[in-house]
Amino acid sequence: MLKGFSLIELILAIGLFAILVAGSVGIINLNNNSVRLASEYDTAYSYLNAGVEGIRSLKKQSWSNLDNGDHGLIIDSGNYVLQNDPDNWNKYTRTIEISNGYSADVKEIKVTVSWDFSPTKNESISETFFLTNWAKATL
Amino acid sequence: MRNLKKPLKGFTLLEIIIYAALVGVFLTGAISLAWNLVYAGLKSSAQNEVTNNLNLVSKKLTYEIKNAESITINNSSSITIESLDSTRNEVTFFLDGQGLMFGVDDGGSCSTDSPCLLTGNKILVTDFSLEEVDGVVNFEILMKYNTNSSNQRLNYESSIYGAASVRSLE
Repeated sequence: MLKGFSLIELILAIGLFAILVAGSVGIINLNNNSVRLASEYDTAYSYLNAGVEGIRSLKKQSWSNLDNGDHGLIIDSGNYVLQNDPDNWNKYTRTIEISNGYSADVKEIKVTVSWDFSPTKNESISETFFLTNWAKATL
Repeated sequence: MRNLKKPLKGFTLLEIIIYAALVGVFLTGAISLAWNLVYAGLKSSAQNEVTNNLNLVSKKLTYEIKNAESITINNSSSITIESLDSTRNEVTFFLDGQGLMFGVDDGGSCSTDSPCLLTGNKILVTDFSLEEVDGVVNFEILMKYNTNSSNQRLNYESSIYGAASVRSLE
């Protein structure tokens, strides 16, 4: 009798091989993505932090600089200036949201940086903090 | 003695050809995979080197600026920092040739008169720019992996943007 592989054996072997290959390719891909994501988080965080420092500086100049609404923060001839459109660096978008916190003398500031990690996956980080008009004279 | 009625067993020409072709295909795949692994290792070590140097410079610069009493930006790529801590006064960062120099007058060997190289010798700092805006120092650092190889896969360039406020001015 002729000996050889049966069809079922062959299908089983190909199936096992495919599962192993798919698994290892998946792991390599996952690793690549997490390395890229970590470096993109770093970049986004540096833009976020720059926004936070900028807003604090803007408040130091004058409390009235903090208009409620969604803003971007640009540097115009050596000064920080709020603008109406968000800031863009390549694929990173930074929005600064200013609203009244507990009262008009406590502002809630939310800085958000968002970007497209892939066409279908959006990432964002944000930081919320409060600024108070402690120097305001009260009667 | 061999039984002449029984045919000799061996490989047919077709079997040998199939065998050689299969070995060829597998060998090609294996070698290209091995090369890719070697390049991936080199590439990731270049990326790590650049990222680590960027983080080091950014953290050190931020720390010194935050603890400054006053800062002087001499030109857009050199900064002198008057530190709040009198035992380590003053601190300087500047771009020199291919690297970033750092000096601190704390009695150590890297004084402002004889500063030391802060970045690794495999790193080429292509841009270091500073700008002071209302008491906040905005900086941008651009680094490149310095390789003699013409292999494009080993070239890696990255930048970091940062801002730090001088806390004593607040």
